[in-house]
Amino acid sequence: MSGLAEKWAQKVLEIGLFAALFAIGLGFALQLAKVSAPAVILKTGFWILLATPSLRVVTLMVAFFRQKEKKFAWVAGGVLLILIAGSLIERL
Amino acid sequence: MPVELGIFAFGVGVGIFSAYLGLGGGLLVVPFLTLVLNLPAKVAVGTSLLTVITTSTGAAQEYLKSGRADVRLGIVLELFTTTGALAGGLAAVLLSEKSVFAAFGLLLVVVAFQMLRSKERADFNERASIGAYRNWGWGAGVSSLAGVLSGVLGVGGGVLKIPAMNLIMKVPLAVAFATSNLMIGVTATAGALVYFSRGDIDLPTAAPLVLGTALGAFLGAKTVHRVPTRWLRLAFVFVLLLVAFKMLLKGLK
Repeated sequence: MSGLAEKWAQKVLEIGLFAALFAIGLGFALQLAKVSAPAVILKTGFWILLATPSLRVVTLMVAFFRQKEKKFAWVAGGVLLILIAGSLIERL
Repeated sequence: MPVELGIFAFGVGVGIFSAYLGLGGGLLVVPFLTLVLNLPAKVAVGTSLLTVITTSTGAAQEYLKSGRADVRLGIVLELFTTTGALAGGLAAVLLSEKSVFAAFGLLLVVVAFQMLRSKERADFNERASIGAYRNWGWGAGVSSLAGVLSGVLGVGGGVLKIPAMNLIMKVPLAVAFATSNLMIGVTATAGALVYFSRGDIDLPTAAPLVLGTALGAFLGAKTVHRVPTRWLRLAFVFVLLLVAFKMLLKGLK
């Protein structure tokens, strides 16, 4: 692996995916076992899944700043703004 | 067998195939959800995007580990893929069910022919730095289109991005492939947010699908070197064309 940016981004994706699959798996298993599982477990899992790539962008932004690659840090900030705009659509 | 287990099993199959052939899975998931489970096209697209995020995230972290994905190239083009995906997701409301089917059928035909012509991926080891890439304007344009495609049809859009990066921007194929994969997670998220806000995602269907795909992708990655991908590729082209025919039929009827 090359630099800080790659290392951090990889970790975020790995942990995020694991956490999301864990919550979705738990919600799904409870549902299959006909236990009255709160839908919130499943929903949380999907929100973690959706948040993971965005967190990866945040991580890259911070890593680029630390590596003094300001230009790429700003670009990452731009991508983040677009994602935030997307998540605000619901409230329109 | 409860229908959830059937969906899970299908997910495992999609995951394995995706790992073997380097696909996001959306190409198979949308037809499955519409033709087999009879979900409305828009719900199928929204639900598929969650599967696409899963396969992309799993694969991307491997590509980051091996250093093949270029995070700088990726973040710049993501500006355009995410904008495209948001626009595509929003514009999808205006499209009729039939036009989504027809467009998807056409996309499948294009992918099938692209797969027939493409080379094996395994033996690429070239690297290049960001300074060597060219034609950023074209790269940005095609990335926007790939984003729209993702937002409207629930696929990753690698079909456009990989050739554009490789042929137009002069990015080595292996890097283009890995970087496209990295970008797909964020792109599909942008699209999925729009579908989520409209309620066009079927969570009870998405759960077994996402879990199955993740398991399949893991199994596929472990066994990919033992599989004759050439024949698999030909078989897949056949399946794609068959599905394309069914989708086009539904779109044009």
